[in-house]
Amino acid sequence: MLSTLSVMGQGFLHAMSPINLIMMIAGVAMGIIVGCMPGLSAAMGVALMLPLTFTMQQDTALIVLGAIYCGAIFGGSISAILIHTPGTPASAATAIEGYQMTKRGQAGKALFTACYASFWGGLLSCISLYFFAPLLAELTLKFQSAEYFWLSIFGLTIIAGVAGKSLVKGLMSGALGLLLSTIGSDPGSGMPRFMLGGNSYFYDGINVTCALIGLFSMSQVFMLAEKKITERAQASKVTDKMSLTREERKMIRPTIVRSWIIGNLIGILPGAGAAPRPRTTPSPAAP
Amino acid sequence: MKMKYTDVGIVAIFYVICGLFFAETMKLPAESQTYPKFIVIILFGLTTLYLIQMIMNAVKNGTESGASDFEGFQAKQFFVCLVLAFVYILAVINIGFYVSTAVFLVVSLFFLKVKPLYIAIATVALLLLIYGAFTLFLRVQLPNNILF
Repeated sequence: MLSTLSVMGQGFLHAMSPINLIMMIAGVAMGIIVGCMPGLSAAMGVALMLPLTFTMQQDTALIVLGAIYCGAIFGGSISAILIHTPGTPASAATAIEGYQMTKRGQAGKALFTACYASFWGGLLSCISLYFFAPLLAELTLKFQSAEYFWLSIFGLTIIAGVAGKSLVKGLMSGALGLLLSTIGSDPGSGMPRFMLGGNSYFYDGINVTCALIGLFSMSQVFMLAEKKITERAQASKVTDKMSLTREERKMIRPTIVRSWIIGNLIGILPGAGAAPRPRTTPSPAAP
Repeated sequence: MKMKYTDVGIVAIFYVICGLFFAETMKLPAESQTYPKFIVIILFGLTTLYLIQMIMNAVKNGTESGASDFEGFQAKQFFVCLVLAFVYILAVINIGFYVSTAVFLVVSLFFLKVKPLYIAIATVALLLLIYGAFTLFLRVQLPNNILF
């Protein structure tokens, strides 16, 4: 245990060297740029930036790639909060509540909250990775089809929480979503299903990013298009404060801890990725 | 809660979706039919349940047109934007991203009565930003066809 801590300490000190810190900041900045562009996911950002790391030391290269990934996941929430279009699938839930805050003139606060939560989420998940990864890996190996099935059922139960006035309408929307998820090749037999005459665009099903842009961004465009333009928006002095008060920090602390635990449990599952986490985490910020 | 006549449209659309997916499902081999058929049946059942709820609401509380949901609805503006969006999607695939985006922005903003100077600034700035970020910096291939 002591030797592990010693190695971890050495690694931490090495990561804090000036060149690594500079590359980390550059990586996060690049990741944020990639993440806030709808259509470019965090994984795609890492793939695009990979050639830049070929000439770097291995440790620096890994730091840069990790920084790009983390930056991109946070960057996705910028477009989600400001223009109601999730930059990455992971920020789909941020678009719902963050945009409501923007409409109330609290965009700065929403962005800072996303940044604050991303910081703590990233830091705590690193601690989890260090200490709990071996234990969680054992748990992951016990996950079979039945567990995945129940995890999916658990995901569907969230419909009850977000259905609003009519539960049946919410369930209908959920069932429609499930039906649309059958588009593409059948995972069991490889048979193409509902691909509009074998259109190869749908071979892997409906692309998540395209679906999110359609659901959040295009719906916003059409909602604006149906209203009469009575006056043009005028830029006014921004009075919104970015920083959070002590009470607000105290209020979101339990959410961060809860999200950290849920995120760890879902994140260790192969294939789940970052996208399902925000939707499985209950939020007190919901209006 | 009163039954809204506009909800009849929602029910009709869901029944059409169920019908289309069911018809397509029946064309699949038997082993690929099970899951989609199961989901279609669930959706059909839920839609019917919603229809029953609507009828019960109509009997208990009466009906309303639901027109208040569309108060201030600008039909011409909405449908022109909708058509422009569809034309833009087709143009991106068949003509190319940059030309079709430039044309789409100019036409749609002109239709929405934005000042010509603002249209020019918005179009040029957006296209330069996308070109710089996607084509030069990230080297991501954007759709291009017969034109640049």
